[in-house]
Parts: sequence; C-alpha cells; structure tokens
Amino acid sequence: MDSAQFLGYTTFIYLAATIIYVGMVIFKIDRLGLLATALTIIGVSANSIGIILRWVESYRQGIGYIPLSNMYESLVFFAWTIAVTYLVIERVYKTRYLGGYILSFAFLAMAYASFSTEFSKEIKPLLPALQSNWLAAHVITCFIGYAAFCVAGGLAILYLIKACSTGNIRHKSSVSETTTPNLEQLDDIIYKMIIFGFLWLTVGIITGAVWANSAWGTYWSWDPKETWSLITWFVYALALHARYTRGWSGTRMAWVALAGFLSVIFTYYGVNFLLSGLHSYGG
Amino acid sequence: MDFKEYSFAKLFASVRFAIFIISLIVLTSIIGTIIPQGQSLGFYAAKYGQENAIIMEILGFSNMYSSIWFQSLLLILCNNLVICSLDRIPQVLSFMKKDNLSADIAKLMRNKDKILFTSNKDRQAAEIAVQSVLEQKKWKVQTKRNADYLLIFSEKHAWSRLGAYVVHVSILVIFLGALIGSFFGFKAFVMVPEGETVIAISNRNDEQTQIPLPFKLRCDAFDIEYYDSGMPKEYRSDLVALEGDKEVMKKLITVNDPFNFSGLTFYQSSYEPMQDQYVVEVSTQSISKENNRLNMVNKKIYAEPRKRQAVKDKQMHFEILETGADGHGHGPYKIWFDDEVGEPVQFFAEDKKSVTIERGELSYSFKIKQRYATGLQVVKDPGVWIVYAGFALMLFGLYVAFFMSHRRLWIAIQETGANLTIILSGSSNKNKAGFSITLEDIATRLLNEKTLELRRM
Repeated sequence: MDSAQFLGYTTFIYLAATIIYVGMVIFKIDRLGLLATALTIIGVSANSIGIILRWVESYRQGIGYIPLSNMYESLVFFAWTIAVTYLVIERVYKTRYLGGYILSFAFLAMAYASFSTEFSKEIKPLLPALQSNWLAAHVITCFIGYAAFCVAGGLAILYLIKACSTGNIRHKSSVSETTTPNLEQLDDIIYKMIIFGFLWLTVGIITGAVWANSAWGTYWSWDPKETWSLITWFVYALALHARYTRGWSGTRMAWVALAGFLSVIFTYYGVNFLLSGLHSYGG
Repeated sequence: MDFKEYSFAKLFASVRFAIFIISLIVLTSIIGTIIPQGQSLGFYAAKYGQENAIIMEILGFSNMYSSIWFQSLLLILCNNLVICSLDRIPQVLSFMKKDNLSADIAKLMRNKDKILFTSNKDRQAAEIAVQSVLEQKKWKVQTKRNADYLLIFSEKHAWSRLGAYVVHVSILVIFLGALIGSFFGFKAFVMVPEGETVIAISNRNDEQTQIPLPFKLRCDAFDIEYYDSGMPKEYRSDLVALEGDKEVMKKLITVNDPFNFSGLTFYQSSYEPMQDQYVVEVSTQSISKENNRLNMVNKKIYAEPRKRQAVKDKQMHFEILETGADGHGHGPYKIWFDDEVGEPVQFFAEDKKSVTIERGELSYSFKIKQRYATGLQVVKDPGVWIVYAGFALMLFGLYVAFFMSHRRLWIAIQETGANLTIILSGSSNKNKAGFSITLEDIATRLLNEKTLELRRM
C-alpha cells in the first residue's frame, strides 16, 4: 500500500470518529466514546504511517526529503498535530465532549488536502533553497503552534456559543463523559493552548530566521509570510498581556483567541494564495 | 524607580499604551504585506494611479518597513518595553525579598491549599521530621520560633517571577543586534565569472559604492545540477580566498551552505550565463609508455567561439567553430583542433560530455560547457550573534514565564495542650493544580514518617 491510500483512509477515519463523538454527545451514549477514541488513535496511526510512507517513497524516487515541503504535505501534518493535540486534551481533561468538535478540524484539513485541486499532491523534488535541515525544524515547530491555535480558536467558538446560550450560568464540573466541560474549563484549555501555541510559534519564527540567515544572510526581510507570522505573534502577545495585566478571561479571551486563529489562517493559507513572496513555493 | 511623577513616562509605563503601539504596528505591517515593496514609482503609478502613487511614495509605503515612521513605531515599542519593565521590576523584586516568616497562622489558613495534621509527639521531634521530609524534596527551609508555634518556610523558583521581563529584555537584545548589524555591517553583491578574481563588491543599498575586500576572491567553477524533470537541484560555486597569490581557504558553496571568511559571508544567490563564453577542459592521456611529456596538458580554458585558442603553446590550438545546432549555443559544438603532430581535425562534442580524440601517442579529451558568472550575496553582520543570543534568551524567558512557578510553602507546628497541630499550607503563582499535587505528595511523606505518628485532621 502506498502513502496516498493510508492518507485517504485517514480522512474517513477522522470523519467517522468525528461523527461518533458527536453521536455520543447528542444521544448521550457514553459507550460510544471509547469507540470514538479508538478510531481517533487508528486515524492518527494511519496518518503517521501515511507520512512515513511518503517519506520512504520520496527516497525511492531519489529525492529524499521529509514530507513537509508544500501545501499538501503541510495540511497532512497539520491534521496529524490537531488529532494528537486532541488526544492529549482528552487524556488530561478526561472528557470526550470536545472530540467531535476538535477532530472535525483534523478531518477538514485532511479533506481539503485530499480533494482540493488548488495544489499538487505529487512528490516533487525540492528547490535548492529548501534543501536544509532547518526545513523540518521550521515546519514542525510552526505547525505545532498552528495546531494549538486551531484548537484554541475552535474552542473559543464553542465557548462563545455556550456563553450565549447559557447566559453565563456556571455548571458544576463534569462527571459523565458526555457532560460539557464548564465554561471555566474551556477558558482554561483555551488559555493553555494559546500559551503552548505561542511558545511553538516563537520557536518556529526563530528557526525560520536562523534558516533564512544561513541561506541568504538575512534573518528578517519583511516578506509577507514573515510579517504575517509576526502579526500573529503580536496578536497572541496582546492576548497574554491582556490576561496577565488586565485579567481578561472568558468571553473577551475567546474573541481574542478567535482573532488570533483568523490571523493564523491568513498566515498559513492567505499569504500563499493571495500574496507573493519568499514562501510562494509553499503552494 | 518611580516614573509616575512624569506624565510622559507614565504613558510609556502603561500596558494600555503598549497594547496601542503593538496594535498600530500590527495594522501598519498589514499594509506592507498588501502593497508590493521596493518597486519603482512607475510600478505603483500603473497599479494604483499617478496621484495615489505619489501619496504612497510620500508616506514611504514603497519601502514601508524601513520608513522613518515605521522604524519610529518600533523605537517607541522598545522605549515602552524598557519603561514598563523598569516600572514593574522593583515591585517583583520586593515581592521576591518579602519576609515570608512574618506570616501568622491566620494567613496560612487563608491559603487555598492547606492540610492539617495532629500528632502526640513533641515539638522538637516534629521539627526534625518535617525538615528532613522537605529536604528530601530539595526544599531549603528557614525557621522562626514564635511564642506559641514554630514556623517553617520554604520557597522554590522565586526568580521565575522575572520570566516575563527576561522576554522583554530579549526583544531589546534582538533590536540591539539588528542595530549593530545595520550600523557596522553591510549587505553587498558581486558577480564573479568562472575563473576570475574580484577585489571589491558593490553595496546593496548603493550600487555605486564599491567595498574593497580584505582579500581576493576567485571563483574556480560554477555548476548547476538538475533533476530528471529539468528542475534545478543545486547551484554550486567553487570559491577560493587568496591573500597575495596564496590560497588561504577554499569552499564549495551551495544555496544553504555559505562561505565564511574573515568576518564576511558569501551566499550563493544567483548566476548568469556569459554571452559567447565557454569553458573548455582539455586533458591528455598517453597511449604508449614512452609518452611525450612535453605535450601533456590538463587545462581549463575560457574560450570564445570562432577565435583560435592556444592550449599550451603555439603548437597546440583549437577553435570552437559552431556552438550549437540546438539554437541556444549549448552544443553540439563543432571544434577544430591542431597539435601539429598530424593534420588538423574537426569533430563534434555534446554539451558537458567528454570527447576523446587520438593523435599518435597521445589522446586528448575535450569537454565544453557554458561559462557562467556566479552571483554572490556578501554579508557582514557583526550583530547576528547578539540577535541569536536574544532568540535563546527569549525562549528561556518564555519557558520560565509559562512553565515555572514561584511556589511557597509554610509549615506551622503548634502545641495545643498535649498534642501538636501541624498546618501545611502553600501557594503558587501559576499552575495551581500542579502545586496541589505537590502539596499532597508532601502530606503523604509526612504521614509516612514513623517518628511523627501524624493523623490527618
């Protein structure tokens, strides 16, 4: 079997897991949760195998690079980081309620990677500029950050919906797996995801700067991708300052998390397709 | 330092102002990503109209990130960082130096995390046991004897409260490195034809300014490697640094692997095929043992088409008669050759492919390819290591700010009648859930101390 097959299955496994998680919440059947978690783990495994096989295939074609060099490969890795982040949250917070919600982003990333016609899915040789060990370090760190921000942004939407519908009534902490985590817990996860994402985005920007300096002799050239990643960094820096010094939390923090996520989407996607610059090969 | 007396400093010390400045930087940065940077006035006129182009030129939108107003915004942010930090660090320091042994029982009971025990042992035994448990977990203790109770205090990572300020300082360090780079460094460019030596490079900011090199730089060869698909795989330049006529350092550079020498770094940046210039490699091999040593050659010759070229001496000549039926001048090449051993010959050679011709005792091989000039970006940046130090400091600061917490622990041993009451209490400025677990762990260890015979209340 080849990588494309595994990644194809991954898309549908994530979809199935998403549906089962949602079914568990709607029909309040806790037992479904275990199945959904098992499916998610299988999905992550298929996703990992797909990435590793693609890596092997690129060596077989005599190109040999870690599959993180274009839009397709980055989306596949993005889905992987979201699913893994979700599994960690499920374990730490002992709740499966968020499964359908967060995993749907992993599914969307995979579905977009598989079905979009905007970019090529072929294994293509690397341009001379991309042939560096910094490629893996830069892309992996950035995407861990992006995934954390994606989870924070997704949960922020959930928070806003819940805050609206419950009129800010605070629930007692969850007992059953299908019980919604209360608003405080959601706020806590959003905040932690922002911290986590911020740290990795910082590492991502730094590795990018060091790489640029080793390839071109400039660690910062205000290229649109660089500038947008800095804008994103500033948005989250603002969020953290507002929280630490002004005590922002809850609804206001959720809005900031959402704004940050929009900035991430633009940095990741918008810059590649709407603006031109050093990172245009990312498409 | 108290800045509050000066309203200007007060403004700079406020987080609200910092948030305002950062928001301004964010919004203006967006403009620079939408409007293409560094183009000519004509480009903007064609794209946005004559009048708009002039307004944009005045506002510095064509080179926005180096415009005075944008750089001023960055400078204001730096100022804000300095004043904000100077304004707050004293409070943090005084908190770190606080006398935690002055706490009373009531304060201990106010902490969210507290566990109470009783024991019927005496106070001294309890003190020794408690201290040994804390020291096992690397908590350094301070004690204070009060009239009716003994207070033991210990804290960890008080300095972690400074984490956020380490991040602020790191940003300043990065700016400092960038400033040093822009004042004491330069970016320059040079095209070096294969086989030639340069002694000066031209400044990127001002093409007219030639910067002399402290050594001579020669390019021995430039080469492009292709994938089967025809996409370029690697650009390579063979560079040599010379002092006088002595080769002091050699390196084969590629795009991600530059050449460092005497404070300058040479990056593979571009290339140019040279019009009507070819590199011809000629070498001889002897066929018989008694070869004619005088005629042995192994040379690289830069040749122009339709010009007779001496290989070694007047006796040995060649000429590129035609440069290519392909229409691009990349072979097959038609070559005329004469070594005055026999009659002159004419033969064809494919681009970059070696062709061997036999002439009596010797065989000659010819290899012909396009001659290139390699484009090198030359950078002197004495600030880059300061920038990197800033990066490292930033990551360290973020780690401390996010993941390390100032944890404080108090244990009061109080004699109540014949019994002892032991209060274990503590607080943490971050990761409170993690701290509760730590406190429970200490409680379990205290309960396991045989000499104490503690009971949880």
